[in-house]
Amino acid sequence: MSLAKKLTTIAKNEQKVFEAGKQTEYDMFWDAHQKNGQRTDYDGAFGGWLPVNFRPKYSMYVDNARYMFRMCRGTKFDLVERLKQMDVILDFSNCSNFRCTFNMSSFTRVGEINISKAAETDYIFGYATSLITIDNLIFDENGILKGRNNEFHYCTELQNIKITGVIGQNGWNFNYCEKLTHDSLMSIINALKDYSGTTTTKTLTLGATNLAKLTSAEKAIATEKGWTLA
Amino acid sequence: MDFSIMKKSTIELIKLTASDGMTLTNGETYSKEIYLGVNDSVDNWREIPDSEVPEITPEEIVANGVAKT
Repeated sequence: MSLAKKLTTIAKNEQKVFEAGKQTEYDMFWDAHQKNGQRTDYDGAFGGWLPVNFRPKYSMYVDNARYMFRMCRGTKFDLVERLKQMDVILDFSNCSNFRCTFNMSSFTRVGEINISKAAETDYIFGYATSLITIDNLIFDENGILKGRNNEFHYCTELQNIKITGVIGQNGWNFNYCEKLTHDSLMSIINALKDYSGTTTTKTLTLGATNLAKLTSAEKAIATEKGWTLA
Repeated sequence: MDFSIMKKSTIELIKLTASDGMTLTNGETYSKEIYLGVNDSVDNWREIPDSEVPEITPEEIVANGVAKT
């Protein structure tokens, strides 16, 4: 092949070579970072990252989410959309440690967060001041998980939350979440364990702004199940 | 018209409201107003001055990297 022809061929394929190089770099990084898809301990895995760089190659079946997305912030970011784009799953159904998982992140939406096996939930969403929607927060069916009063600390933009499972213990505090919709508040109240007929008393903190969104009858759903509303 | 499906029910809510400058607490929860659960009692709640309501601890501030606003 003449030199001229070689140069022409190279120029024609430059973009392909560039893309192939990028793909190789992507694969090398994510194969290592996610242990070829075998990683389950994601402690601090994306902490401090710019969300735009969160482009996982493999689905994540997480057993340790401590600090996983802590301070993962920059532009506001829909985590559900990104996972869909990357065609990967983020599964917390076997996860026990959620300490600061989304703490100080700039996510606007997170999907299904299964805390049914959690032993630690401190500040899981604390200071996630851009968070608007939690698609589905799954509690265990026996209501054994105790809140730490800080899971939703300064989640000031949170509007939408769906609760699945049973809230059975004290310590769940939505005082900072003054934008919660009525439907979200009812999802929380309907998930409260029924302690009527017992001597057990529990407390749920919604805050004055949220309490004002509920009718007397709606508040009574909670109080008649043995829950004091604060 | 058949009225046999009509049901009358009474809703009772016991609301406690803290005095000015005070906060209600049961030792674990702090609030200006509460609605008592059926198994709870007024005796479980007392008023404390607002100044005595626990603030976020310095350890927690450090852990989270931002000060309380």
